[in-house]
Amino acid sequence: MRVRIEPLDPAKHDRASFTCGNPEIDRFLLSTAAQAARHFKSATFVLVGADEPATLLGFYTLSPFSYRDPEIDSAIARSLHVRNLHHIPMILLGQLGVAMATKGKGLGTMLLRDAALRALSVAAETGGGALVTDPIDDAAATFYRRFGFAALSDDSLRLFIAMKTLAASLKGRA
Amino acid sequence: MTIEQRELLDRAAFLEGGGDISRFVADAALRAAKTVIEEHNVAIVTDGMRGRLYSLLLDPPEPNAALVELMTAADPEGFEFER
Repeated sequence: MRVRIEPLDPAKHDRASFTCGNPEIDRFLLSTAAQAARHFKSATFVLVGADEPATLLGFYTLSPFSYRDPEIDSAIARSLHVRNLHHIPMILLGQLGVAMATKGKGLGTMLLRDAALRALSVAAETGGGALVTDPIDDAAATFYRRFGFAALSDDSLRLFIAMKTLAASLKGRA
Repeated sequence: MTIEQRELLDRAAFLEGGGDISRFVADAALRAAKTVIEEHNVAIVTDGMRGRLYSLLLDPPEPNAALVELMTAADPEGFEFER
């Protein structure tokens, strides 16, 4: 099956029929994703079959994100080149869903790969030290952790992977 | 603040803040602040994450085998990606 990943286009893609098994993710795709993209708040990319481009097989959403640290150590701020702003740029993988009908075929990992590649290219253009995600459940957390996403504090489920780690992975170092 | 508003706070604080109005108000304000900040795609570095965050950014781990496989492997069986 020939497939491709392209920007969500509400005129072309059938969002209403998409279900990934989690109503919250489906609702985001149906009622928020396109509007958020129109306002440049986030960007959503969908996976479709070449022969049936209206049917969504999966999607993901990226947006700019940053951490602010008013108490950042000045030497660390210098090393990170964040200096006065105290803003550490990141990229948020806000959503990722695979259609129920196509689960278990490796499409989730394909979406994650595309999201990671796109995040790398965005980070190269505008900055972004890490890719961040808030897994929606334990299964999602296990999925991300497998690839090296890690939590940074014991009381938060948010997972991070350094952009440098993603960049190194392209060179095949393991 | 009107008397009615004050009484409303009193009752809410009694139900959910152990009766401590200033604590109840502070908690609610903090929740609202968190929502506002998240809406603007900004989060605050907490004490609990600071060390690990800067070590992640300044001394990032090598990619694990699963990540290298993810980023460099062929398309899954049965699918051909148009690029």
